[in-house]
Amino acid sequence: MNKVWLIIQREYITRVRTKSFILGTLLVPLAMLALIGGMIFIAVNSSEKLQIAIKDEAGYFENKFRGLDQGETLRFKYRKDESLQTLRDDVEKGTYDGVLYIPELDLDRPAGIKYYSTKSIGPSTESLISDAITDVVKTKVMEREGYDESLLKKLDKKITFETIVKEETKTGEAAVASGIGYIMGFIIYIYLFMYGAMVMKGVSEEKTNRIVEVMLSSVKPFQLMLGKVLGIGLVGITQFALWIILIIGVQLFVGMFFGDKLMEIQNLQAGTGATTSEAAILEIVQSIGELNLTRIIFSFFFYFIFGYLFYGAQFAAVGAATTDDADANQYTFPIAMPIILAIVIMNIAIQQPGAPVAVWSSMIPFFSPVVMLARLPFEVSWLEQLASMFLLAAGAIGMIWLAARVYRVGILIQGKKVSFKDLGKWIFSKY
Amino acid sequence: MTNLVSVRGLKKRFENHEALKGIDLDIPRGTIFGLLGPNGAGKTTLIRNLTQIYLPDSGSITFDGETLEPKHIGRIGYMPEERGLYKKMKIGEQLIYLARLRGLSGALAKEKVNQWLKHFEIEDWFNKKVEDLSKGMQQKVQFISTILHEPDLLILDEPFSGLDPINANLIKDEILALKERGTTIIFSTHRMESVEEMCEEIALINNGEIILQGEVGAVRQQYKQNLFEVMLAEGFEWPAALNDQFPASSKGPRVYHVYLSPTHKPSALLKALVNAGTEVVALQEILPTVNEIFIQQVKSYSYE
Repeated sequence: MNKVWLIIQREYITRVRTKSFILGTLLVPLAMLALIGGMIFIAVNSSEKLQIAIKDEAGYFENKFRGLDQGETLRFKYRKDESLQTLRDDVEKGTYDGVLYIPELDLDRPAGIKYYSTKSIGPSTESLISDAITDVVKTKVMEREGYDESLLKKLDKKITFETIVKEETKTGEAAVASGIGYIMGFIIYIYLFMYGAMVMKGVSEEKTNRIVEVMLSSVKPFQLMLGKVLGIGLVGITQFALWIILIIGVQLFVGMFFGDKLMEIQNLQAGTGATTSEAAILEIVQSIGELNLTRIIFSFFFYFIFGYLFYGAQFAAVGAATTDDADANQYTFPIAMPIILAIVIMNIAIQQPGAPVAVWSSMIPFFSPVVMLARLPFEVSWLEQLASMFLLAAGAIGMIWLAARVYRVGILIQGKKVSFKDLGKWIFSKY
Repeated sequence: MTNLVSVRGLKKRFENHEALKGIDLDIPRGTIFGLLGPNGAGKTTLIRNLTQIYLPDSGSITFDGETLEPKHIGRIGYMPEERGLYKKMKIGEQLIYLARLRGLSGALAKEKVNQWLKHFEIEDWFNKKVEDLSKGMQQKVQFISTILHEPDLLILDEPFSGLDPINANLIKDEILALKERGTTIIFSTHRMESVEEMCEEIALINNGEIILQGEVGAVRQQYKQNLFEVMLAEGFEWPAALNDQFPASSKGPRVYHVYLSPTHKPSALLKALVNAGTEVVALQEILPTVNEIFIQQVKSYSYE
């Protein structure tokens, strides 16, 4: 075991020290920082100050645009008394950015509203204006038909509903659950591919380098393979942990220096003011709080580690069995298939966490690391999860054993094309 | 106990061929032992059994009086024919790593690495990467990695292949120095030039079997063909009258080779020559070279 530890150390240290690891680890959070910075820059610089004059022939809209002003960035001026032509000339001169012309409206067929400007307005401003006009027309029609205006207010309600799972009240947010499930499943998927490929490359390098014969005179093939798989797995966990730390750091940094700006942008994006978006965020935070975070984090690491062992062993076996890359591709395909299939099933699991295909594949070690994690934020019984975890752990150990059987033979064979039949023979042969 | 390694009835079979068909071999302590054989004879398979890369199907290997076990790994050094190092790793770290895998402590490994780099006057290589070295330099590093842990048994598979004459001599000197210090060395090769020069004992392996083994001088005696070389003095020729009894073939000016039948002694030849009035300058027995024995034996076995 001491030797396995030495191998783990070597695999870990030689990789963590490489430029590509350091760059990759630093660049991802920096790219995020740049992205956020870019968004702020664009948002701040593109929010120009719009002054819109309103020429309202019928006078329906006096005072109706008051509430819509947004500080410096959007301001409506009600100009009933000036002629349309004067206002349009003012636009040319730059006094206003545009004129909204509302003719005397036929309430049954309101038409002929025009916006004159030298430049176009954004979709959010456009819908803001058209919503305001629609509201006023609605009210006018109600008045004409003899209804009280307050009735409209009473009617104008957005109705939401609660989802109740197994007698426990969950205030909705299936969306949050599927979001978290999706992210976790996807991270595992990426990790399996990225680090699986790294294991395969490491093994085949040792083989083509011929160092492997020297190594095998010191350690058992199983120790060499296990050390490599574990060492590279630790590299992955390190990178992952560093990303989380750096991303949190970046967020804190951004929050500290650009917090106000960010708030402003959020409000802008939310369109109708701060109160609703804050409420929405609060709601998301609440529904995250209602999830069993300890269980999810524990499960994430469990499936992360054992899923990696399950697949990493397979990649190691392929690296050992093949000599050239073209050959290796032939064998990576059958390994990659279940991982890709797992992502497909995950998409179903997020929509219908209780669907039979989702439930069954969260038991099968080939799919469970991705699928079970996607289901977890929804309700999954402990019994079900323990069964899945047991099967995955057993599967990983079995797969390592199987891979080691292929590895110990394949790693010493040079320049021979290996068939699936050979692999089968190796598993059952004694060397 | 005179033998460091004893192999008895070692058999190893792969899918469709029997690589070793029951090998018996004794390797005396403190000798340089030549393991000879054509390509594919089973040398590498035998070595992989000695280095515990393979486990025997049947038979036994005894190391220093005990059954060969993983605990002996630290007492064996192995340089395979196909050399290999981690290309991207620094030389110093790599040597320390390999020594630690052989059971040396970190501190001791470091001390030994520095000592050996100094010995080869390459201390400044410690932080160089293997891929930055020439092939010959890599071989030097490989050799150091093999002997760092001061093994009792050193197994060298074709140690001189790919070495320039200067480095080959350097390694040769090191091998001899190690032998002086009591290291037992197994030297596997199919090149005979170096064998006679260095090995005291040899075993010839062909087609999975040992076809001869013993001390080099004894083996050459065993396979001698009663061939004698005669050099005559200036102005003399082989007397035609002797051709019936001692048929000779000319091997150069005044030099003749004669095969004596087992009943004849060289003194009889000398007497006959003198009686024929010929002046003899030299008469000596020609023992077959290991190379000749090797070729002859391998051929005769493959024709059987």
